[in-house]
Amino acid sequence: MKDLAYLVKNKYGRTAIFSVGKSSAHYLWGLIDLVAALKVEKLVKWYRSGKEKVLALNGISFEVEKGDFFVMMGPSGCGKSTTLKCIAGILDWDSGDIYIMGRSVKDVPPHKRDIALMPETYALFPHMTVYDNIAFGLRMRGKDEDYIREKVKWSLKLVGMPGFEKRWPNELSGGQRQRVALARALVVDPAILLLDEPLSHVDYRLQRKLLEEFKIIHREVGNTWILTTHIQEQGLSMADTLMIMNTGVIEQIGKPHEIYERPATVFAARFVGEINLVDGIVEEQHGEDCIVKTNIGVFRGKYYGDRELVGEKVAYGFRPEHVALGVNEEYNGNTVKAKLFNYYYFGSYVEFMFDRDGIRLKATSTPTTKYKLGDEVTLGWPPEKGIVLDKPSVIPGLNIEEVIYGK
Amino acid sequence: MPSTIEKLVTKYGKYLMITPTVIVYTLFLIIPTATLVLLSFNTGERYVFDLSKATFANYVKVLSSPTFYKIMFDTFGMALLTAFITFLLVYPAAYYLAFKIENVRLQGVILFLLLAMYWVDWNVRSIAWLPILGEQGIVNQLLMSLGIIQQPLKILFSRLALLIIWVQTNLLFMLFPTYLALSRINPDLIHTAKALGASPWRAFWHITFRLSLSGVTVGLVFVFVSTLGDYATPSLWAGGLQTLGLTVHHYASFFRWPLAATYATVMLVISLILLSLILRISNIKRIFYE
Repeated sequence: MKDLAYLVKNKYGRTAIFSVGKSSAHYLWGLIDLVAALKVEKLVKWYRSGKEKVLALNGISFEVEKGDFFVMMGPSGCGKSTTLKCIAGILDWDSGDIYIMGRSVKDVPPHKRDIALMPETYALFPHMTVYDNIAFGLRMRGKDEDYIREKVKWSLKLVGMPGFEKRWPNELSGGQRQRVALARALVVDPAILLLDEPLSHVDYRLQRKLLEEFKIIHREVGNTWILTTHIQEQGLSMADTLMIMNTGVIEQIGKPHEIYERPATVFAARFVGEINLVDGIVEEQHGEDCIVKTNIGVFRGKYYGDRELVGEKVAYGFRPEHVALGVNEEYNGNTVKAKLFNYYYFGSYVEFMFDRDGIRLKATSTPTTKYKLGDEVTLGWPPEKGIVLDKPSVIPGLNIEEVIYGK
Repeated sequence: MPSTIEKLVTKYGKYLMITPTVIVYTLFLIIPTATLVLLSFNTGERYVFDLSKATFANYVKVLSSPTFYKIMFDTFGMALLTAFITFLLVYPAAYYLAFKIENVRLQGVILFLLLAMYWVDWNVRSIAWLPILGEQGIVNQLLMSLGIIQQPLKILFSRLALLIIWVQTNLLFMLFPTYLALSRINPDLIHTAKALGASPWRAFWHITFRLSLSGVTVGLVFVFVSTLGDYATPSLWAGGLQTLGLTVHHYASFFRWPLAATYATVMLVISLILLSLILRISNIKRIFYE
C-alpha cells in the first residue's frame, strides 16, 4: 500500500504521480479529490474579555485553490489575522468550520494540520542556530539527519542564503530573519503556508525585493500560500487571488485586476488603488450604462450589478490614471472643471490634486505636464472608465456618503 | 581647544557612574573577603595577618578531618536538594501565572500578594513553624484525626524540617525569575513551533522550557546561595545537623578565627565552582540574548 502510486492532483494543484505514505482517509481524499486546499465555512469568532464581547468574524465563507497565492487584505481590525490564526490553530472559533485539504480541522491540533506558520514577528527560535531553526519542523516529523541536512541546504539556497547554517538569529538582519523564517516554514512542505503580515517590519526597498523573491519562490515550490497584509500595494502586486476584508466580513474576493476594475463596493474601491469618488443620483440606466447626476456634474459610467438603480443614491468613481487633463469642448466623454491646489512629483509620473466645490479629485499625468497652483483645468475621462457603485459596503446599514467621504 | 579638565571629563567621566558601587564593593566586600582568605593562612587566634607565620596548616587540618567531608556533603546536598525541590514546586505555578492568567494586571496583584510573606519578620516566621510542624501542630493533628497516623510524627528538628522550611522561605526567589523569564517568551514562538509540527508537550520542552532556563538558573542560584549561607535556620530546626555555615559560626564564636576563615574560604571556592558549572550548563549567555 505504501508504494502504491496514484495519478492524482497533488496538494500543489499539479497532476502528478503520487506515492502515498501517511494518510488518514480524509487526508487521502483531500489529495485525490479536487477539493480546495482551504475551505472556510460560515466562520464566526467572538473576542471576549470580561463582560465585553467583540464580533471579530461575522460568518465568513471562502475557498482557496491548491497552489494559489491568496492574499487577505484589509485595514487593521478587519479580521484577517483572526482568520489566519483560526486556520493555524492558535485561536478557537465559535461556529462554522475550516477544512484543510477537505478535512475539518475543528478538533485537529495545530501540529497535525499540515500547515506552517510564519508570524509577523518571524519568531525565529533565539536559542537555536539557523540550521536548527530550519531543521525544527523536520525533526518534529522524525526525519533522519542526512535528509534534514539536505533539505536545510536546499531551503537556504531557495531563499538566497546558502552557508548561513551556523549563524544565530540575533546576528541576522531583518531581511535575513525573514528569509530564514520562510525557509523554516517551506522546508516541512506544508499543504498551506500561512504568512501573517510578512513584510510589515522591513523597509520599503527590502519589501519590494522580498515581494519579488516571494513570488518566485512560490512558483518554484508551488504549494498554497495564504498571506495577510494591510498594505494595498502588496496585496495587488502579489496575489493570485485577493480577498478584501472589512470589520469581520468579506467585501470582495477575486483576481486583483477584477477587484481593481470592477469593485463590488465603495469600501473595496477605496481600499484597492486610488479612486475619485462622489455621491449622486442615477438618472438613467441602460444595461450596464448609467447616467449619474452629482453636485459637480452629470457623468456617464458602468454599473456591474443587477439592480434597478434609477432614482437611487449611488457612488460614482473614476481612477486617477484614466483622467486626461486640459481637454476641450470636443472631448467625447465626462468632463469637469476643477482648480489645481496641490501636486506631487514621483519621477515617472506626477499626481495632481484638484478641488471642485470642496470635492478632491486626483489625476496622474506624465512628468512633463506643467500647471501652476490655482489653474482651472478641465478633467476628462472616458464613460467606460466611470464606475457606479450602489453598495457602500457588504455591511448593511452604512451611509454611502460617510463611506465615500470618510477618512 | 577644550581645556585639559574637559578632556579628562570626556575621557573618564563615565567611570564616575560606577565609582560609588566600586567604593562600596571594595570596602565592604572585596577587602573583608580578602582579609578572610588571608586569615585562613594564619595560626593561633589573631585577627591580624602575619606574613612570616603564613601556613597551610589550617587547610591540612580541615581537609584531613573526616567530619569535614560529612559536613560538606550535608551542606551542599541540602542546598542543592532544596533548590531542586523548589524548582519542581514553583515551575508549574510560574507557568500558570505567565500563560494561563491573561490579565497582566492580575498577574501583578498575585505577585504582590505573594511578596506579603516577606513583610513578616524572620523570627516570627520561624516561630510559626512550631504550631504547624510541632508534635501538637496542625499537620500532626490533621493526620491523626484522619486516622493516618496514631502517634504524632517528629517532623521538627530533622533534615525534613530543614528542607520544608528552606523550600518555603525560598519559593519566591525561584518564582520571580522563573515567572519573568516565562512571561518574556514571545507566544508566537510556541504557535510557530506547533504549526511546524511540534505536539504541545514537545513545543513546551524544545521552546518554552529552554527559553525559561535563564530564569530557572537565576532562581536556582538564588536559592542555592541563600540556603548555603544560612546558619540560623539549621541551628534552630535541623536537630543537630552540622552545616558549613554552622561550623564557621561555631569556630567564630569560640574566637578561632583562622579555622573559621578556612572553612569559609573552602565554602566560597566550592560555591564558586558549582555556580560557574550551573551557568556553563545552562548556557546562560545564549539565553539572555534576543
